Amino acid sequence: MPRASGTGASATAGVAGRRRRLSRAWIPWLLLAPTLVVLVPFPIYLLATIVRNSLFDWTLTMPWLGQLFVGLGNFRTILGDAASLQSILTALVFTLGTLAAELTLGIGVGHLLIRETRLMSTLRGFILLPLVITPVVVGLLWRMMYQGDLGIITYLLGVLGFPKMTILAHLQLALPAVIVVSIWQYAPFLILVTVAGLKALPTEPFEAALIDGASGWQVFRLITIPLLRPLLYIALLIRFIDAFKQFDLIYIMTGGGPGIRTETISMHIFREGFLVFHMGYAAALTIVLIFVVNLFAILYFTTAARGTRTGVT
Amino acid sequence: MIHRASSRPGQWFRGTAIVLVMVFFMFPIVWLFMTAFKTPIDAFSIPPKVFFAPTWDNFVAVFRQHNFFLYYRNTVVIAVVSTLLSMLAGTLGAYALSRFEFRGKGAVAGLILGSRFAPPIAIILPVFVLVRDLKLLDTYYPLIALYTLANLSFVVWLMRSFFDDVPIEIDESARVDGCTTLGILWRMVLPLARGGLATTAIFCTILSWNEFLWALLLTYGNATTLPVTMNAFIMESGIAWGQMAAASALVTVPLLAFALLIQKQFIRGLTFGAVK
Repeated sequence: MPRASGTGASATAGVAGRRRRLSRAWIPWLLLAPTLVVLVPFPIYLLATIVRNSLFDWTLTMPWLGQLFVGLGNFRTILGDAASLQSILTALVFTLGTLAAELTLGIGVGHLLIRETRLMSTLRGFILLPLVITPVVVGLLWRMMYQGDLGIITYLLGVLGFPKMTILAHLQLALPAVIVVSIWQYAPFLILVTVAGLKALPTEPFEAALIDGASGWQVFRLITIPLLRPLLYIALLIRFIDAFKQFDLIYIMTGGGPGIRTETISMHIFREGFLVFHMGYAAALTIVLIFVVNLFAILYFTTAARGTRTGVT
Repeated sequence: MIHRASSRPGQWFRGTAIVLVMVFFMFPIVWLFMTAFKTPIDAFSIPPKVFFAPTWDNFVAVFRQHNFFLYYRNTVVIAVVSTLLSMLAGTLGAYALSRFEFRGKGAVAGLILGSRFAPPIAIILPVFVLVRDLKLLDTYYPLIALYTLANLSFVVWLMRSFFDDVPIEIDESARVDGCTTLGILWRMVLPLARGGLATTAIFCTILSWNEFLWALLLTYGNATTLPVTMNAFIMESGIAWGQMAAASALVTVPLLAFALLIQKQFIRGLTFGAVK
């Protein structure tokens, strides 16, 4: 959990320490200065620039056209642009698909790998490997395995009797196939969070449930899950933010295709910004992206986090 | 958690499930490394070959054709310098958040964390124009600056959680002995938190090492990093799968080593110190 403030100096320093701390009030700010000097002005500059650009019609590669002020025109265009709306929807489907599977796998496999044996601890070491591999490499690797004539996955599916096809070029299968790759790379995160959470759980509720004769499923549903919930919320929030803006995996595997079937909003912004250089329109799309990401973060901090505080601790 | 003794069939089910899960997560990595050592014929024979005569040809070809050493050096330099910079600034900030009470502390901590949530694609639009106007495209500087910025909030939060593990009494006794704040941090607290320092630095290195989008848009050959290079295997002559796999292996091996080194602290790192 993010700690409540007050764990540090104040917890142990007494009244005598307080006066000293007051006279030293500037020290923490001095220590924080290098961080804040970088982390405050630059994001403000970026955000201001994006907001400003979003109000203009501006093509980077055609400077002679200049920058035309259009007000909220770019946002109005987004609302009428099927490709843009579709990209937001695709990003949501991609995110919710991968998150649902990651959560299921996380809780399931987390339970499988929890035991404290040498073997299980080794397996837990192995299972975190997908998390650190360069996403570009992951994308290329799966693209190789998905390949139409020669890929191992296509071959195995063929053995099982499925027709030969290039999965990543298939209109219906491309998005699920990309989601599988995202699950492969990031489910270990939820698995390991679940393991860490299960290990930290108190034993008393489980003992009580055993004495009361609760079934395994009852214990899981009524004790394990509620106790794990705050942890899972944090993990899901982190994953939501990352998955919603996911770029490299998709760029490498499909480039958004076939058609725009796998074009998430990050891919769409990339195309508008750096393939056709519509800087104003891309900036407006960026604001939509930032808005959605923050919407979910705020939703988390207002509902999930509050429920946690009253419900568990 | 306590476990009840499982029945025989239960154990069989458990064992089978574990095997299936491990195959799903490990097979692609094994397949990548196998492909790296295969000739083009072995790589795409039907049915796929599990036993084959390994060859170094793909690695040799990667070193010959793709300026691979230059890109490897670029990646190492950019990752190491940005890690050092963000550790330098972030550790001080983390110490302040761990040890001092002051007005606005919660807001500052939240602000620092919030900057982490900015989508990379959002940042790159204005940055691209800025870097272009500054004539810094295809140099180390913009990438080092961006990675430092991106890692900074991470360093502050993670190091703060590691500092919280060091008992405050250490600081207090050192202060009684006349140590300055920086002296306490440098001589007493940092040595005790060195495991956390290493973990944090490794995480920063991994993040910079793997970053793709910014490197793709801000470099054109001189300052190009490895993930962007991998992209080049697609562009030239279809896809040279064997070479792609060999290059991937070379990119991946240090990451796998890093991951196993910090295995114990892994989840703590991925959750910004929230889960221990």
